Formats: sequence, C-alpha cells, structure tokens
Amino acid sequence: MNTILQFDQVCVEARDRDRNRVVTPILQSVDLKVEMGERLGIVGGSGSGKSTLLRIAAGVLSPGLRLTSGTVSTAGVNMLDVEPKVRQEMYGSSVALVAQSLGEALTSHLTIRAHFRDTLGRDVADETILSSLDDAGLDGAKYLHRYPHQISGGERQRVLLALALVRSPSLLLLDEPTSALDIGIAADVLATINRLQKSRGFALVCVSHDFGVVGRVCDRVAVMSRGQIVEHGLTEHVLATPSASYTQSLLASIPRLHVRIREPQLSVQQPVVVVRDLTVIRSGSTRALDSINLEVGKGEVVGVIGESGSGKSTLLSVMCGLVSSTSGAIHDGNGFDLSTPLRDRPLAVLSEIQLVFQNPDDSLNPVRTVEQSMSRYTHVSRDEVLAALDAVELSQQFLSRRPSQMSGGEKQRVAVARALLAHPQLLLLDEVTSALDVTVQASVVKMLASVQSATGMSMVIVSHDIALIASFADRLIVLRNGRVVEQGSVDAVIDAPTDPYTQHLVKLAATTIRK
Amino acid sequence: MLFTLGAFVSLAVLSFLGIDALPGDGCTALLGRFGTPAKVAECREEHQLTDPVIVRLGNWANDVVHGDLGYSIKRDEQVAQIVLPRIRNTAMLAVVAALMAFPSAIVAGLLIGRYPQSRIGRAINTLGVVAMTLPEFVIATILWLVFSIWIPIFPGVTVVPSNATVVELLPHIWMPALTLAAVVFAHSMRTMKAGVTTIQLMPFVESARLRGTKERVTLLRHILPAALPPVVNTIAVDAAWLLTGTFVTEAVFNYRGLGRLAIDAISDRDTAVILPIVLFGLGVYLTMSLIADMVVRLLDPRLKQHRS
Repeated sequence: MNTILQFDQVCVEARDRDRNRVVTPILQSVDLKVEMGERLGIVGGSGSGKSTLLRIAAGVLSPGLRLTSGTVSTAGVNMLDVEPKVRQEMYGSSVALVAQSLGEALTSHLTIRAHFRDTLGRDVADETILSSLDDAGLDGAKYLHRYPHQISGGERQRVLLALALVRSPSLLLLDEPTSALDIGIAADVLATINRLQKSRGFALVCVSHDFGVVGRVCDRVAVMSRGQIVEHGLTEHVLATPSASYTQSLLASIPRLHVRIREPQLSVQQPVVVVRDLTVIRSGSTRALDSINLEVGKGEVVGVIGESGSGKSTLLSVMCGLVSSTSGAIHDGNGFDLSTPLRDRPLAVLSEIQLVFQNPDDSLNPVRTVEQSMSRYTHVSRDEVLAALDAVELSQQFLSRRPSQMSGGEKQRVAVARALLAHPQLLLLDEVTSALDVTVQASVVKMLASVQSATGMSMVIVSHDIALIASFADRLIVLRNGRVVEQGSVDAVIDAPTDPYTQHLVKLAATTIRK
Repeated sequence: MLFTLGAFVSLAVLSFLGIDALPGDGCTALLGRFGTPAKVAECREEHQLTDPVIVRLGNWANDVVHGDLGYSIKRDEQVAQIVLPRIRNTAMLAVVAALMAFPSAIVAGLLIGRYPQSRIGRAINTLGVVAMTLPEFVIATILWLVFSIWIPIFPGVTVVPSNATVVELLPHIWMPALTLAAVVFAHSMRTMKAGVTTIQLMPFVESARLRGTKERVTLLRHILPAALPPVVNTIAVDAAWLLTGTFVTEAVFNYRGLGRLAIDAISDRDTAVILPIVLFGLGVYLTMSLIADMVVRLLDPRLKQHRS
C-alpha cells in the first residue's frame, strides 16, 4: 500500500453554541487520496473548509466541530478514532503539520536550539540541529541561540519547516505557508519546500487561497468551495482549462499585470496633495521615509508598492496626520500645511483626506451597528448614510448589522462608505483588500473604481501586490527602505522597469501563475 | 531602580507628615488622661517636640539614614529594639506561609488549567475560592477546631515572648502560616489556571504538540513560562501582604509579629513606633514590585531587548 492519506466520504459539521439546533456543514462528502511522495494542493476561499480538511488529516478537530460520517486514514491509522497517545507519537515521525500563523507558531521564550531539543530530546547533538537548519536554507550557527522575535518572518517559516521535518515524517501538511510573507521571500520559501520535497520524497499537502502558491509546489490541485471539492486534477490542467464555474471565477479574479479594472487617466490637473523632500526618522536613526517627492493630482489614482518595512504605510500616516514628519514639506491643494498635528487641523482639512485601514475588524467597533458606526460622530442624515452605502453597493438592510454579522468584504465596504461620508478629496487605502479572498478582492476593487469615476476623487492605494495596483492605478511609485526607487505611469513601470527591484517584482508577478 | 528609590523617599516623607498631622504625639500617649496641659508642654519641651515640623522631619531623616530609628517615649525603649524582633517574627511567618502557598498554587493552577475536567482539580479550586472568600478569623477558627482541638497536633495560641529564639517559635508558626496560606493560595492558583487556559489555545502550543513534543515538555517548557508573568505579579502583591497585612491572623493566634505591634502602637498613638512600621511596609511593597518586574523580564526575552 502506497497511500499515505485517504479521506473517505468525510462529513464534518459545526454546531452553533448559542442556538444548539443550528448546524452548519463544514465538509461535505470529501473524498481524497494522496500517494507516497505526491504533492497535492488545496485551493479555496475563506470558509471553504480547506483548513479543517488539513487539520483533520492530522487528527485535529477544532472545538465545536463534529465528524458525522466517513473515515480519515493517515499513514494507515484512523486519525480521528485512535488513542490520543498513539496520535501524539505519530506527530513529527509520520505526519507533521505546519499551521498557518503570523509568526506565533514558535514559543517566544525559547531559543531556536531549545525548540529542537524539546522536539528531539535533551541529548540531541548541535550538529543534528545545524544540518536540519542548513537543509531549510538557514545558516544554522547564526540562529541556534536566537529567540523567535529576533529573526524575520521568512526565517521563522524556515525554522518551522526544519522542525517539522527533523524527524523525517512521510507526510507534510502545510497551511498557507507563505500568506504572511512578502512576495519575494515567499518565492524563496516555496523554492526551499520544493527542494526539500525532491530530496526527501515526503508526500506534501499544501493548503492556500492562492493559486500561485499551489502552482509552484504541487502537481495536483483540489479546488474547494463550501465544504466540497468542486474540481480536482493536475495543476496545469486546472489552471489552463478550469471546468468548475467556481474555479473559473477564482482564476478570473486574480489580478494580472496587463488586465485593467479601470482605465488610466493621464491628464495631470491641479494637485490635492504635494510632498517635498519628506523624511521621517523613527526610533533613533531609522529612516522610515527618506526624501520623498510626490504629487497627487485631482482625480488621480496613485499606487504605492513596497514590501513590509518599505515605508508605504508610514507615507499614508504622514498624509493623514497620524505620524509627523521629521523634515520636508507636505501641503494640500490649497496650500494648507499638512505637517500640522491632527488636533490643530480645521474640520474642512480633516474631511479632505480620509483613510481606510487594512483590517476592518480593527477599524469597526464590534458592538456598534453599521448605522451607529457611520452616523455617531459625523452628524450626518440617514439619507447621506444610505447614499454612502449605496455607493459601496450595500443595501439598506446593512444599517442594523454589526461587524460579526458581515463578511470580510462587506465590512471593508462599510469602512469605505464611512470614509465617503466626509466627501474627501483624497482617499487613502492601506492594503484594503489583503485580508480578503481573491474573488471578494476583485469585487471590492471594482467597487472602488466605480466610486472613483462617480466622484472624481483622488486616491492613494498602497499594496504589496504589483498586479493588483497595476490593474487599478494611473501612476505607480515603488518604495524600498523608505526611498522611491521607481515611479511613472503604470505602463512605463510594468513594461520597462528600470530599477532592479521593480524588475524583480514584475518578473515575479508575471510568473505567479503558470499558464 | 532609581524610580523605586525616589518613590520610597517621597512616600516616607509623606507618611511622616501624615502621621504628624494626627492628633496626639508621644507625650500625650505617655501621659494619657493624667496629662495636664502643663505636664504635656513640659514633656514636649524635654523631647524636642516643639520644633517646627520641617526641623523634626530633618532630624528624623538624618537619624534614620544613620541607622537610628528613634526612641519611644511611651514604651521607654529604643524603637529598633521593639520593631526588629517583630519584623523577624513576621518575616518567618511570611516565609513559611509563602512556601506553603505559592509553589503548590503554581502546580495546582497548571494542572487544573490543563485538565479542567479533573474532579480533584475542581475540588481544590472550590476549596481555594472558599478560603479566599472567607474572613481570616473564620479560617483561623476552623483550622483551630481541626488541628488544635479535634486532632491536637499544633498549639492554638502562641505563648512565647516576641524575642524568643527561632527554635522556640517554630512550633507556634504552623497554625497562623496555614491560615495565611489558605487566604492567598487561590489568588495565584486562579491566575495560573486562567493563564494556562488561554495559553493552551495559542498557536505555539499546538505547533509544539504537532511536531511531536512530549506532553510533559509542552506543559513545563512551553505553557508554564508563558503563563507565569501575571502569576509573578499576583505573588508579589500577596507576598507584600504577608509581610505587612497579617494583623488579624496574628491577633487571633496571639502571634507576636509586626501586625500586633502596629495595632498596639496605633491605639497608643506611639508615632515613633508607627513610623518605622509604615516605612517597612513601603519598602516591602516597592521591593516586591521591583522583584516582580525583574522576574517577568527574565521570563520574556522580548522585554529584555526593549530595555537596551
């Protein structure tokens, strides 16, 4: 027998704790088979059941979930119907799961070496640890005595890989292995996963919302939607000729470099914000922004691209007054000095510039309804609230909903609508779609495009995804380490990038999906 | 460190002024109701109590810095000789109570948090909460009934003087120590339990389990240190209380500690004795918070880096 993982008609349901009668199906009759050494990808939106499926393969059933029928066999063992002790002994030696986490999967008070010693036993030789880290692409000696907070996100992911593989399991389960990483680092980590898989020959199941990730490390792909596998086949075939309508819409929603959601307008008009030699120095001598020059014209959409730490969020924070500049000048279209602290700005200037944050869960008060969130401090009429909701394509029904009763995309629409209430001249968008599924992202970006054309307002949109921004903006600015390394019209930047970093980004974006 | 020292000095000055503002002083305490105004004035003249408050504060501070705690007019004795043996007795009581309460509370909290379904765990939790809720004298009475009357293994009342040797004192320490331990046990136990309950759900714990870390190692090396910081702070406050707040228990068992002395000194208005007791309390609370901060910093390497 060469089957390492088999799902047979697996059904899982969630029971609502408050209303015991309400039952939501999480997995519906899932069949799946993975042979030794095979590489399977599972793609789906949030709530599709893909993570539940992966965790069940490791015998972990989250609280509130119940297996109603079917069997799961991992390395010949029925994982959900076995003594916890047996299961515990299989971890690391026959099956290993690296769960999705934003750097929280390592224990913060233990060194990297201590993590290995806890996994392998106290008497493990340092050479074993070093060679394991080496395999995962880390110069081991440098990391042995470091704590998790002293290494970068990519390095943490490599340490987790090394830990998972150190006892040579025959099945490796990965949940969103690169979702928290910058695109360049993610590509490197995926290359390492590929190399390890080839040299060691373990079977790999990789869950992701991103076809790009699965396309790089998996031969076969299963597409999930609402707890069901809607399509299953060789990765190349599924990508080239998707048969299920869900897969088709998923693939069509992925932003591509030369596919526009909004036509660029290049007529330069009077500026709404002007930035001259702007420098922001934070915590000692780190230059978060270094001599930035930028003008945003009326009705113009400027895209800012950069990885984490490039200063792109700081730039937005300076524009809206949350962070003060160290030197340089910044003023609005009427010449008002925007280095004025927020509390000293007149109301008219405050309403000129509005900011929408990355995560609506953090920016919407969970106990307030949409109506309360939108009208409480702005003193606007109900009609205006309704008009703003209408602009973001939400119906009147949403007025009485709280954040917990809305999806991620709906919450982000409310956040945008709230910003629109101020009738801003400039809307700042900070990674507003990065927490959303790709299909939802596409619809939110479309909505933003229609808001822009209806109101003619200017926008600055910040993202790590060059393809997304190129599909939406008129002009691009590439930030790296606080400096502008490249700027120009969208076509100029993506067709003929001059800076090596931009060239790298464009190349990565162009090869994200092999077609 | 510097902050703690500054806090100590300013609080000490505040306490001096506060106690000075109370009606009565050493002379009224000594003479009591027989003190005619003339006698009191004479006594005050003799003991330099007529100086302005700022001068007396200066003199007192100067004496304290040079190791002289002053003189009790009422008790006709050096304050150091009255207070120091009492501090020793209370410290002994506190140490014994702390050893009874804190290690067991940490272990119990860890296990109850990890195995919330266990019946023994639930029983211990309930008992701890009951002990925490009951007034000390009720617990003392119950323990008394059990360990001095039904099963007479410990003496119920301390009958040795305050300057008895440690060996003489030891048999009398168990009952008040047990009472105090019962009062504070549930605080740190429940903080620990709550910490373990939330920490267990964190990704790094699941991650450790899923790479095959043994359960014992996960519990002791991954969960325990992460759950400890809030417990350390609870213990610091409780330890300070054990050193300064044991009035009731000492009174019930007639134990000759600082608490008894404080009550006596306050009812006598013997300011010379009250002051060093207040200072001791200040020092204890400040030292305990300082130690707690340092221990928490040791437990979390992320905090160590922020400092440099």
